[in-house]
Amino acid sequence: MRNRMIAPITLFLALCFVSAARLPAQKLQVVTTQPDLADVVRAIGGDLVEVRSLTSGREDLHLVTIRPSTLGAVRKADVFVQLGLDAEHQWVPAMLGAVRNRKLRPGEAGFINASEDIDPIFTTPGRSRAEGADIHPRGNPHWNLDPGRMRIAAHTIRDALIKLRPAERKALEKNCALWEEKLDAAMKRWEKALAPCKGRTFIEEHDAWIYFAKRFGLEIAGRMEPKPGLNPTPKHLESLVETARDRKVRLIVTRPARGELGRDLAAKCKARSAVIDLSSHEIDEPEGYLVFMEKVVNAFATGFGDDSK
Amino acid sequence: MHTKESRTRALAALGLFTVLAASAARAQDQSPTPPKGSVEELRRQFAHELADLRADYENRLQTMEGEIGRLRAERDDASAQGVSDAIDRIRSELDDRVGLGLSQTTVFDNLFNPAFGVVSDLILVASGQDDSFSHANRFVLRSVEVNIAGNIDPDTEYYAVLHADEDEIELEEAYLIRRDFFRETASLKAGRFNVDFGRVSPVHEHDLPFIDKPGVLQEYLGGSLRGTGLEYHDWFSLGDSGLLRFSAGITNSPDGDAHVIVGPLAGEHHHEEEEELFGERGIDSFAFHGRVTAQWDVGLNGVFQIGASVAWAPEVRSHLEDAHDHEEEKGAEDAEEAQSDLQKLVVGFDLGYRSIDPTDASGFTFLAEFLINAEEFGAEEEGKTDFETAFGFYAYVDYAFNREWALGVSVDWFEHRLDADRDWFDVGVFGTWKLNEFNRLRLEVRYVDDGIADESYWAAMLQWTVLIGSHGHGIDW
Repeated sequence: MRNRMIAPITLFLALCFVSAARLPAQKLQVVTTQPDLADVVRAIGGDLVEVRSLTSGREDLHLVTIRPSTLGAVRKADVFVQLGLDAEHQWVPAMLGAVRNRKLRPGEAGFINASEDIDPIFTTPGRSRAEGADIHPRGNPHWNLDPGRMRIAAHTIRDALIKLRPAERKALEKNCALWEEKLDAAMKRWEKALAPCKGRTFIEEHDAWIYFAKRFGLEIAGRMEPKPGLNPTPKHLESLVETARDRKVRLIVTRPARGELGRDLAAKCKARSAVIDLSSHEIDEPEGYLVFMEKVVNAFATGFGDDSK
Repeated sequence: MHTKESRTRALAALGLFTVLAASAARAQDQSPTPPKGSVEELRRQFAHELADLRADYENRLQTMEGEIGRLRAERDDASAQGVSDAIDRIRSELDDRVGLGLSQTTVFDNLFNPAFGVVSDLILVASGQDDSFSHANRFVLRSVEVNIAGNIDPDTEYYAVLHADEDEIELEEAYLIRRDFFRETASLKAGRFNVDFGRVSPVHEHDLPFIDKPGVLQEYLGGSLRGTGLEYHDWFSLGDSGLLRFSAGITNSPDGDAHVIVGPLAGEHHHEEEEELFGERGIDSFAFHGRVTAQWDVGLNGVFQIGASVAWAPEVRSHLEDAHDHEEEKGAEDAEEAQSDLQKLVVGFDLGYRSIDPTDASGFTFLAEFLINAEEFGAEEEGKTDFETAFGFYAYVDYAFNREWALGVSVDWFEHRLDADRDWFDVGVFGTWKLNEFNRLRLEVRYVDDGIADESYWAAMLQWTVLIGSHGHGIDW
């Protein structure tokens, strides 16, 4: 009797083993603090990841309100990716503190600070609030507007994903290389489109465009916020009209929330205005980082218009 | 057969023709050999040697360039490794010095452990109240709050809140939170803290959307219900778009705390003259509280929340002890007011909805909270205890036009906790201007119909709240 049972049991165990071995590895659940990062993770992770951006790209990252679905998504996540440099200081620490997902603790493999390896630009020299309300002692956090730094961040993300899925190294490296090829092709287009604008000056609404300006040889002549995070005042805006005249400013760049104010200022400065978000969108469908940057480049090229020819 | 022979013959002829043609071409190419020792011969030799030398040096150059390339690559690798090591070392040193290893927490928290913050709350009050409280028609420095927050270890945080006003300095809260308590999502709070009851009660006054805690919270809970003890928290998801959170606590000295400009506790601080609603607890007699709340995403930006809270003190003893202490000083009248083993139960239900457009921070917040207060009172020693059940609520709507400006209205009604036939009603309008994240002005005008004191009046208040250093509140849930 006993001997008769051995064969079926062995067969059953063997089948179990084979089935388990053939089961595909579960996809990594990734949450990112904003859509640009989500797009890059999707490109690199491919089929190995399921990615969700916790914001839609329309938000001011300082004013994000945490919703129940956000907490649920972070709770289930294997990987968390943030811009860093304190861009998400107002909500990420509280969120991670409440969710208590061990895998996502800073220092753990699942916590990816995408700005870890980038070279930050310091636009607020001090650490005192006298320098402004919205200051970032670790460096300006809007590095995602520089495709060059996004490439470095992509490497950081790739390496972190490899640590989590070492068996998939080749696929991850290949995906990253493919994304970089697309980025390279896009960069050539963007550099060509903005080459005539080199040295041109513009006014920004918020302390956000320094990386982009440096990448493409543009100059920031002034800022609508008198100090980072402080609301524009009539007196300051008046002074910007003079600045615009002195420095031949031809473009005012604002976020949607201050689009009207930007248009008013542009009219006074006899300049054009452009309303540009600080990130790609992910409302129904992901817009994609490269598509977003294409729009940004076009907005600047169009904004400078004939003056750059 | 004939065909095969013909083909062989044709191939032989073609081969012979090819050999002859090649020989002829070679003969044509070759110049006549110069005589030995002639200038031509020497020139030819020189050219050969020069070519050999050039080839030799080119080979050597190629070898050396290869070697240089290899050494350069090695040096770059070593340099990159060196730089990387140096960065790691510096980061590590910084981590040790300023706690960067904890990553970001909130503004500047990342730089210091513990993080310090100060909140100052200055209010200019104008009131038409006949029987003016001490706060009427004057500037009131309601609070200067010092917050201390830090990590003890990766699983344990510590918080302390010191409150100071023109008259006193008080330790309002001091507690630790142990995370991952049994479950990853669970935490245990231990120390002195504002207990988790309802939405507005635990909030410090300077963080409210209006100036004062609603009157019903002042009347039934004494403002913020604060206790020394333990509180357990946990939560879990309800599908993809909801969550349920609950807490339960035990404290031995829960009491109300309020710094009120307008309301039943106006001008008073609970520690001074107001009776402590829940009283001092003996070691064998605790008070209990709990809360369950659920919230869901609604649409693109909305969140809907419901909740229920309960606080129960089975035995209120303090006033007996207080009265005995005062008995010798004040005489027998105080003894008659003594209370012992009297119970108090407060139950609250809250309902909220908020919808904020993340593009410009515009949107509205609605919150209503209904409370039932059941309280035993009277002098038990003489068998004269009585029991009163009173009901009250408050509700407010706050509309934010953008990041800076908001306008709201609130209404508040309740029955007196010991005499439900008398009631209180107030309604107010408040406008808020956030100059920035750390600097806020608020104007509030409130009408009060106080059926308990039988008077009605207006009050106007201008509040200036500023924040320096670190200040964080976790999640609004």
